[in-house]
Amino acid sequence: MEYYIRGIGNISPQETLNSRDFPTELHNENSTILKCIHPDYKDYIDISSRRRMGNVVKMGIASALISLKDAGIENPGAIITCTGLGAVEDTEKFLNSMLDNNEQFLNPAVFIQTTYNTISSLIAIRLNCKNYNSTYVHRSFSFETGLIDALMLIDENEAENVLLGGVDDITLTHFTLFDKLDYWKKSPINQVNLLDSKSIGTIAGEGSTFFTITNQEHPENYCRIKGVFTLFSSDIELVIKKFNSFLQTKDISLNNIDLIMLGLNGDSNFDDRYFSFMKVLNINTPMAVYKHLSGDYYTSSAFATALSALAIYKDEVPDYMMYKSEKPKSIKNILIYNQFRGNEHSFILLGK
Amino acid sequence: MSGKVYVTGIGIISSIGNKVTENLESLLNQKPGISRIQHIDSIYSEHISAGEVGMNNEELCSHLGIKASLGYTRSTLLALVAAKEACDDALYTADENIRTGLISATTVGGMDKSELHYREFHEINTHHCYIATHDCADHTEKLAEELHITDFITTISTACSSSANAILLGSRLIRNGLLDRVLVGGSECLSKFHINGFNSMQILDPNPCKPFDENRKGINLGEAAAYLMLESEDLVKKNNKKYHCVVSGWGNACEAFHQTASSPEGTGAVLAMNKALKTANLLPSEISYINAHGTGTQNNDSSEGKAIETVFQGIPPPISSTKPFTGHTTSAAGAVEAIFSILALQHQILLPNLNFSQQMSELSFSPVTSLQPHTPIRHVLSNSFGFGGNNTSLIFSAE
Repeated sequence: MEYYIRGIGNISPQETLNSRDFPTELHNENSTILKCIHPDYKDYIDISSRRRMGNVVKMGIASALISLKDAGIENPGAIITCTGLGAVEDTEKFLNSMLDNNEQFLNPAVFIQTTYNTISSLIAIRLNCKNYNSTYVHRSFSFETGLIDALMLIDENEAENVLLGGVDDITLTHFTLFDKLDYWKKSPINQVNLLDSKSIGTIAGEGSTFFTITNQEHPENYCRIKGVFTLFSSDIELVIKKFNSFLQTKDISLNNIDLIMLGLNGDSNFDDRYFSFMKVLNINTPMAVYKHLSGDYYTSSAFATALSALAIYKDEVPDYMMYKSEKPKSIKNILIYNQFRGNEHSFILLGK
Repeated sequence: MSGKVYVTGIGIISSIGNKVTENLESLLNQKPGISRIQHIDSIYSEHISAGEVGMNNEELCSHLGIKASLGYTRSTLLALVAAKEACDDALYTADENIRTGLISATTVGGMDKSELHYREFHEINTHHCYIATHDCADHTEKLAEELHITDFITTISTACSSSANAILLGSRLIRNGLLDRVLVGGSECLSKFHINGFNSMQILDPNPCKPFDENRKGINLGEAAAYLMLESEDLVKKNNKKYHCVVSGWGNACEAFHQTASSPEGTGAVLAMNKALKTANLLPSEISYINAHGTGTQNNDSSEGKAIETVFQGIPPPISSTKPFTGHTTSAAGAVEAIFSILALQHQILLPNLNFSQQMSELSFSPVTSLQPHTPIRHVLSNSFGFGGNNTSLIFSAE
């Protein structure tokens, strides 16, 4: 079975609303948090619904609709939403209200929004799509395991087209609490210098990236999805072993990979693990990076997948994505490798 | 794409027992686990009924042999108890050559600790051990570490159908040849947060719930964890393994109707049940028993009842909701009721729908009201429907 990315809707801290072009100018903040550049949501969601929705829900619905429009597909055969934090803003709101008011005078409308499947459900209601619908909520594996599900649905003939997205927003509370766990840089940093920072922590980010995945060939497809796998282990030898067998099953060698997109995030506690992986395998492939553009968040590999799909589609990669290497001459295969705190490893292989 | 999906191990902790045999005994003795709330300091503890696991966190830790309980949320502790029982039952040992996965489900996650320590999270300037345990994935990773599962781990949250979707995903991963075995299920502890959420929606019955009764008044919440080990046909045959049953059918559909309400005619439920029958290649008349979602709310039972009438063309098989035993264990309910369905199948018993007295005026059927032993049962349909219209049906078959 072949799988293709046919449509993308990408709301991020960069100008990515036009799915078919790379941003020409970079937003270049001096910060520890990167926030999204939002579309005008009145183009996507009516005012009465909009008022009740938190950012993450609006971002999810709008990027899902942009992706379907880009694909020229009205109703997908399945909807899968992937989110590490879900509607964290509404969860904080309900929790604060419960603690402040001693469990009284609570607004049920807020509670309803706190369930993790709110986004997927509202997209289904919006599209009147009664097909398969699920929500993955596993940190940096959320998007990858949702993608594995999406490809299986196509294999099973349950769906011809699957709408799949990764969405997370960053709230001040989440930022503040995880700052205490040393997740973020202790002082603002210019985002383009993130990967040279040599200090602990990264920049917090957010985004919503939806894909329309199809089994149909089409001239406007971005790329093929050739494979995806995840591994939960801090043992780098096991990662390498599983990675090699992944390449073997996909019948592709390292020499055929033109670009490797690394989830480097500038955190000196963890970035070394990418380098040891590259070193042990003796990989000299050109390297690209993305977290200096989006910040780091649980579903940032969806953002990486959008940029990689576009790179294959346009056969070019912008200078601002390259990392300490020459650009590839042509781009047929891209491998995305993301890690989360040393024990969640995920690989997505895209091809022309 | 072929091959059966075998259930080789089961494990459960709920308000009616700390392991499978205790749960079975309570079911056989028709002994519900619904009472006032003991372990949560809520203004509603004295006023609502819920299915609470008997052991407190310290007792769960000592039961598990965990010396330092810091960093373990109640959902994680419950999950460890049930997952270990399922693994022992399946004679599980970690083996690098067997592709093994773990799919767990929760919605409450670590909220029980977050709501207790939320102010401290902000007040202290250093690391607090319950900040990073808040999310849904934390309990899954603790299970994966304990059981040495590395190949595929994920967490699903589709509200009250979450763990049914974990079973569905695991079955598909095996059917599609991506995994050889996978531990699937879910864990949900009671929290002040969701007690208040359901209370604010005014769908909690202060007294024991009465699913499918004309005078039903709502839900009793419950807490539980339940896990099933699923293995491929190849693995079961190769090792000549004992098994409980097969997962023969699964179906997931979305109502796309309303964020919390089900449609009056149960469109999504009809779609999910029909899909499950189709995957199992069964006719409606071949289903011996339905373990219904049956929450006890006006809306669910009427919508689910109508959907069952549609799928079974007015002549449904025996039906019961077992939520009067355990309460509605929300994200864990799919896996809890999967295990009850399996017990019904293995012991050839129809499980009773407790607290029932009057048939619903809009339905043509009443549920099973007393335990019925010696009933031939071959295929059991189990329904799990969630907020957001996330509906999932599963079928468990003797072979």
